[in-house]
Order: sequence, then structure tokens, then C-alpha cells
Amino acid sequence: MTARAVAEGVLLVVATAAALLSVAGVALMPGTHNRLHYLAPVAVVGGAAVAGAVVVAESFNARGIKALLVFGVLAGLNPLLAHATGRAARVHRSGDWRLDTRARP
Amino acid sequence: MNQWLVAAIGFLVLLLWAGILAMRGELFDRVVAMELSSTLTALLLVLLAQGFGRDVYFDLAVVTAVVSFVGTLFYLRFLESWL
Repeated sequence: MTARAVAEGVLLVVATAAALLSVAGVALMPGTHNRLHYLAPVAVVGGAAVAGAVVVAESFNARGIKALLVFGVLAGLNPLLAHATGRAARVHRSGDWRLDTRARP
Repeated sequence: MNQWLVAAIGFLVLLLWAGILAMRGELFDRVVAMELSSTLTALLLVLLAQGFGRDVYFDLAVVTAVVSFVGTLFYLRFLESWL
């Protein structure tokens, strides 16, 4: 087994572990806003590990660049999605995203 | 079966778990599980593309990552305003 194959295997284990952490966190944590935090590990760590494994295997050819593109999209847009979800959940529950609507015009 | 496909099977099991979570609980807990499912799906497609050696699956993964983000934003806007 070559060093490259070992590196790919380690990165894939890291990606799977990050995905397991995310799914377990979403399953076990109470409340929407607590669960939202667990979207990050799979998008950032998992995405980086999968893209890194592809780059180790393929270098920077079309496959490697597309894998990095998927990682960039997932990691870059995940905070926006988490914010939008938290905001929507709060508006759905309270009618407004602000803490006290009377204090603002 | 190579190590990419083994990892893909692990992701598939976790995707199944996330799918079950998306069918249970309160409304926004289901939305969070759906967002997790779309992230897992994009990474699963990357693993399958590399495992099967099919370049076109990488394009599918890129499109899935972008379109699921846009779709979820529309869905959230709909939930926030009308449901």
C-alpha cells in the first residue's frame, strides 16, 4: 500500500467521522438552533477531507478542481444557510427576528 | 470495491439516518435534517464519482451543491412568510 493510498484512507475516515458527528448532533441535540451548529462539521471538515483525498489521488486535474469547487460551495454557503434557517425559525416562532420589536422603529 | 466506495457506503447509511430525521420532529428540525441531507448527498456524489471513475458525476455533485442551496433558501423564505 502506497503512502498516497494511506493518505486517501485517512482523509476518507476523517470525512466519515465528521459526517457521523454532524448526523449524531442533529439527531441528539435539543432545539433547532442547537442542531444548526452541527451542519458545519460535515460541510467544512468533511468537505475539506473529501476534496483533499481527491486532490491527493488525482492532483489538480479536472476531478481535483471540481472536488475543491464542491468543498468551496459547501463551506462558503453553509454559514448563509445556517443564518437563514435560524432567522426563519425565529420569525416562524416569534413573528419577528428582533429580540424586542417595541424598542425599534 | 475500493476505499472510495466503502466511504460512500458510510455516507449512504448516514444519509438514510438524516432522511429519517427529516421525517420526524418539529418543522424546522426537519428543515435542518434536510439541509444536512443535501450536504451529505453532494459529498456522496463526489465519493461515487471517484469510486466509479466517472467524471460526469463530479459535475452532478457541483450542481447538486449549488441547486440545493438555492432551493433551501426559497423553501425557508416560503416557511418564514406563509406557513
